[in-house]
Amino acid sequence: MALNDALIYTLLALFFPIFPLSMVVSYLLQKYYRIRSLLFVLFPSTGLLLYSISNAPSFPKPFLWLGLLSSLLYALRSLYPGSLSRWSVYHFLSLISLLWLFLLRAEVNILLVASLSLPFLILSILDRFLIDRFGSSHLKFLTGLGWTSPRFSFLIALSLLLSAGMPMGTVFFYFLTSSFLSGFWELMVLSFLWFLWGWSTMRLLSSLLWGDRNGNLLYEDLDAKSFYFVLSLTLITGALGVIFLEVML
Amino acid sequence: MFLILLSLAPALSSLITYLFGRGSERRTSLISLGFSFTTLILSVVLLLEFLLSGPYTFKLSSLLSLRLDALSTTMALVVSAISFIVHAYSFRYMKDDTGYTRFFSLLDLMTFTILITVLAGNLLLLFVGWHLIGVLLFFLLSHNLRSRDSIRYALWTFLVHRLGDLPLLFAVILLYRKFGTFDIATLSELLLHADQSYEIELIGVLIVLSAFAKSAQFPLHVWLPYTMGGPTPVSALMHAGIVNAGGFLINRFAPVFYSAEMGLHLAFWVGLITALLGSTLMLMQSDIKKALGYSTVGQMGYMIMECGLGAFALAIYHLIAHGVFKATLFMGSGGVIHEARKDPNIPEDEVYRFFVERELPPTRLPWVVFSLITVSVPLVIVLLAHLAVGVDLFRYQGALILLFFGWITGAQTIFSIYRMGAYNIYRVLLMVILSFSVVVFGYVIIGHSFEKFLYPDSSFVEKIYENANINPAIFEIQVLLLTAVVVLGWFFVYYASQNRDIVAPRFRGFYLSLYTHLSRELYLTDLYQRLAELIIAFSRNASRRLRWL
Repeated sequence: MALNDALIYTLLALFFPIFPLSMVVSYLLQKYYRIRSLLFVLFPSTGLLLYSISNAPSFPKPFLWLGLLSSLLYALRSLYPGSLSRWSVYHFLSLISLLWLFLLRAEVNILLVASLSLPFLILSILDRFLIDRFGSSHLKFLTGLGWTSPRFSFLIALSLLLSAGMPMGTVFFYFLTSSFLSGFWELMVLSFLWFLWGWSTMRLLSSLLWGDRNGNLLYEDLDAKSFYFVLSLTLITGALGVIFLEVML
Repeated sequence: MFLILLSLAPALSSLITYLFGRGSERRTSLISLGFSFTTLILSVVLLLEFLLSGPYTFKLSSLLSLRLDALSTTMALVVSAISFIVHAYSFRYMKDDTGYTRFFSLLDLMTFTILITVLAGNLLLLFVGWHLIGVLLFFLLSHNLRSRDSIRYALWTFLVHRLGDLPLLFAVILLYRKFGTFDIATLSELLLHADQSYEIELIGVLIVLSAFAKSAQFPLHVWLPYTMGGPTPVSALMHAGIVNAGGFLINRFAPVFYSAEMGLHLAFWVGLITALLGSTLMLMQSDIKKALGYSTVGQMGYMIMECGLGAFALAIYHLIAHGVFKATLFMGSGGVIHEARKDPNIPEDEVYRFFVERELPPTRLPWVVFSLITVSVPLVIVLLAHLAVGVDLFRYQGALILLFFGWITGAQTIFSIYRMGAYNIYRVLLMVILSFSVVVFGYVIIGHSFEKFLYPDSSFVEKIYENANINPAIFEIQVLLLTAVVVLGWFFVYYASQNRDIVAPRFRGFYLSLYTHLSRELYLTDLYQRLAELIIAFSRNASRRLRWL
């Protein structure tokens, strides 16, 4: 392996994070939470730029399995995240490391990268709202948002579902396309991944939205302006899913 | 045109209800009920359109295409009708609920999703609808946002559905790789000319596996009886409509079974086990809604078994009949529970006095004569009904098995009359035989006509029946075994009733241990729970040790 190739592989393994380099990304995303939305867009975009200027190099097969297993590791971790912030970081890493399947079997384009980053941008905005309003997005702390903050709940439910691979979002079609690109064992891992994504999302949703309100908190819902802004972003994410599929087909 | 209108009406209703219905229950119900009625009318119009112009596929884009054929129009009519009944019932039942508008909006969205699934013209749209059913069911079942309990089993339901969607996805991938198209009409044509191969067998197995999860088949049945925490209209919709999706899926992929056998055999055995388990567990419940839940499990087992026997159209007829019947029961159960809340004791009315307090009169009819009637009369009725529609009984094992079940059901009913010991036993017996004849003739004749409507090509139907056949020697052993089990059961009950003891002392230990294992549902829920706990424990440890990484 030439030094040049090794450097490109390492850099791509950082920007399309795979284990163990994903630990660096995970640390940065958790530590610098104020610029997390920017980082959610920056990492895969830089990866894409690097991939394009290096003329779409071919990768050794172990990278595919590293990508799949990294994705599995973070999907498993997202089952017990502690907070919405951590869940979005783990889930982001789980989704983006799966891009290696595309890098080896197809190609990565701007539509794919943009539509994968967008749901996390929305999640960051909603996470920020929780932190600003309640001081934390910890799951043991926040309960009963479903009936105390209906606007916020509607948006968080919609964006979580879209990011976890529910129809008609991009992640759903991303998963579908990945399945078509996979061999038998890869498909088995992908299936388990998809199951875990759904499981962790619904666990997170049930923690946040259901149950009695926390008596120590003063609940306040999203204002109308923010609601319509985030709703528009969510609808664009949904629309991108259909466009993505039509382009792939 | 009507196809588009029908599929969009409930989606539009959901949106309008959510946007403009909030704050007024009357406005919400008027919008939702109005659209639901429109959907029902449109589905009738669509059926007429199909009868006049025949099948076609409407393509809007690569993903969005809808199919009009006998199966899709029938299912669309069933779904719209059940949805309308549930809407009308919820109008008053959900009154004063804080999430009234959300409930109706979700109900409309669920109707939209089911309609998209049954009308889908390509595999991807079918999969989208199929998966969304599980997602929306989660939100409908956990309607009460303040209750943590309601969410627990809603999550179980979601997970079983998510798991059960995967085999369908694998089947879609395999079909696309083999035939290069997602279009259902094209695939149906291509499958009729495909040779029997390992791949097609695998596709058949995957399709029935996916049907098992939606139709609550063993060992994936656990979600259904536990989801009674949701609102009663949701239970009605779920038991009358959603669980029937398995039967629809197998029918939608019927051309796969033109050259695949394994899936049919698997459906037969799993359906049989589920039917027996569901019926047994139903008898062990003391909660009316849970008993109805297990009754649905048993019925779904029977429906899947019918598919396994090759009687695809009969399964559709069964799911319609069961849907109407079960929706009525669930909606009635609300009233029963309401009455029971006012008076927790069993009402000592004439039914109570008849079954509990009366002394059994001596039966004048000798038991030998009665046993002859028990065995022969139902058999004659079932045979005559099949001969009336010209089914070649001894050619297809499927027809024989259905005949066998019909016979056992009839015999069991007459046997129950004997045990009941009515005063005017001849009159009761005559009534039972007459009712049984009406049911059997109705079932066979309507089922047969339905087959002609859904599958007009008789050679296609014959081929599926043939594929459902198994080795004759094994088949005969199975039938003999089943007969022995049933007859032994009758002797057991007869012996017990003669001795005025439910179980003879020497069998008591066995009976109690069987009861214990069954009441714990063969520990399946415990197993799933343990597995889930192990995975979450791994996640918890990983997250604690690698907190920032």
